[in-house]
Amino acid sequence: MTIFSDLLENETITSVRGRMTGYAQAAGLAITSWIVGDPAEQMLATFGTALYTARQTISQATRGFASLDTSTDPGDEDPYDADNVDLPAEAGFLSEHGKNVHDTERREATFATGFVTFDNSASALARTFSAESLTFTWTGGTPPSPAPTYRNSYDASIYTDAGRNVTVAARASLVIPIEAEEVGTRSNAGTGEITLTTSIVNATATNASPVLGTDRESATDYRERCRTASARLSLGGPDAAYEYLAKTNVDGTPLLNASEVAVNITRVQVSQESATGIVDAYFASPSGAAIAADVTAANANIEEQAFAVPDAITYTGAAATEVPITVSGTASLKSLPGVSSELARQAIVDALTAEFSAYDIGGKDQVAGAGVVYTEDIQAVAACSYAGLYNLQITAPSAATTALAKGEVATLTTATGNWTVTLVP
Amino acid sequence: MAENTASDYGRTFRCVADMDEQFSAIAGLAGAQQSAIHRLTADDVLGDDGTGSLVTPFGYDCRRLLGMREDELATMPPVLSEVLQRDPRIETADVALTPISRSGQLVDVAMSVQCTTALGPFSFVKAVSELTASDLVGQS
Repeated sequence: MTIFSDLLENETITSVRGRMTGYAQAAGLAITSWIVGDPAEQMLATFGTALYTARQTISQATRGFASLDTSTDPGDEDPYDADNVDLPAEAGFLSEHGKNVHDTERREATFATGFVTFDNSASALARTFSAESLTFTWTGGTPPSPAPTYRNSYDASIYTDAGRNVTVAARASLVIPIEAEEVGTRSNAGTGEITLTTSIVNATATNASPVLGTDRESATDYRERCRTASARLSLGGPDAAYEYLAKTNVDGTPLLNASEVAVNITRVQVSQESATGIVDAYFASPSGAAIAADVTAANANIEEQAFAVPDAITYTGAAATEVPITVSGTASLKSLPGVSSELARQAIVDALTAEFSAYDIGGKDQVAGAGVVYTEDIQAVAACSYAGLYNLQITAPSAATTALAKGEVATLTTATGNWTVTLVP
Repeated sequence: MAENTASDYGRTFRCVADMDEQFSAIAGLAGAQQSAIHRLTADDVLGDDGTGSLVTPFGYDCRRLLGMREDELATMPPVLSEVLQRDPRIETADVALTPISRSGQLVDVAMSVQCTTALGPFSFVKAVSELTASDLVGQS
């Protein structure tokens, strides 16, 4: 172990106390055992705790600036600190490292926003209410528990008087904006799933379109954006410049689409046909092709920057073409307490979903942008998804590879019903 | 770190309410008696028992006896006896609690403690107000 690698690792409190005891003994103090709670033992415990706390801070700071991979924000998975993932998500070492070293900001979670139609058509009385005075709840479909709630957010064009009030006439309705009270995607609700909770006689409300927010950008995606940030310095339009600008503004802030939502582009493929002066870029999200609004935003951002699209270059950016791959299979599992076929099947689906979200557009082993997805790789991921699974066999796809042309992205079609996991006594 | 054996109670700082300027030491049976008082004035201590296991709960803050109803106070001697015997040096512990009232109001509790150890017995009789300094930080 080097001094540097020692600094990366957290030292345990037991190790700190052991060292302190060793120093005391080296100083000639006759201490070999302790009575718990004894004044002398408590003094050692006090100094040991103080040293331990300082030591953790040093390790965390070292990891925070040593590299992007060792740096984390509170709420991220941290291989050196199992408790970090349970902390409330907020900016920390990783966000500071990314901003100060790579001039790239991490995309924070947003509150789900949308619109509801406040329906007063069944009432003979006008209704007056102020901004943020009404409560709505996700009641339709299958909301999480506890069900997310929302407030009617302020809009100067609607709440026009000095008291931020609005009056909905009798027998009338009004579309008003709402915002979730909890940040993140947990409050994302589908059409018609939100209703008015505040009791107003003969008045109802529901949403005619989804209400959507975003979670904080994953640490993995953020580190990737940081790594491509240097492409902004390029004057020759390399691939990395297109990848960076597809999801990040030149100033390092996340790129937003026309709906003011951060683009959900996580994969970019850029063609290599430099001899013809044509550059084609394809965009994908974690689940498949990028949506049109994101493609538009990415193209506009890329085309603005001369270093990405120099003169005499013909640039075209489009959503990747989805190539669905249906995956199914069988496996065996030793029947033990706590082991469940249902959990195993769900674990397989979750693992494959994560795997497919990271597949490059065009697949692996590309030639001129066209590659493959190996069925063996899919099998390997599924086989490791649940402890104790064995003899996992893929029944679909039947071929050893699935070909992807340039601009094509593999999308996963599978569900727990596609898998048979046999519990073996 | 190993526990002291009964035949080797070692040395420690003299410290009930506070240490003196010379950080005077005590040893043997006097140390066990001092530790017994600590068990009755602190719920928890810092750190672990030397094996990595947290020591919780450590003792019983006797200030919680103040204000107890008499019937509830009458149930506490066995509780305090068990607390004292958590110290491996103490073999038996007999505890008697006597409420002290003035003008019909419960103002204090007198604790009579008699313990036996491998080095011999010790005992003390103290009121809660004598054991605990008024400016001690409250236990959680």
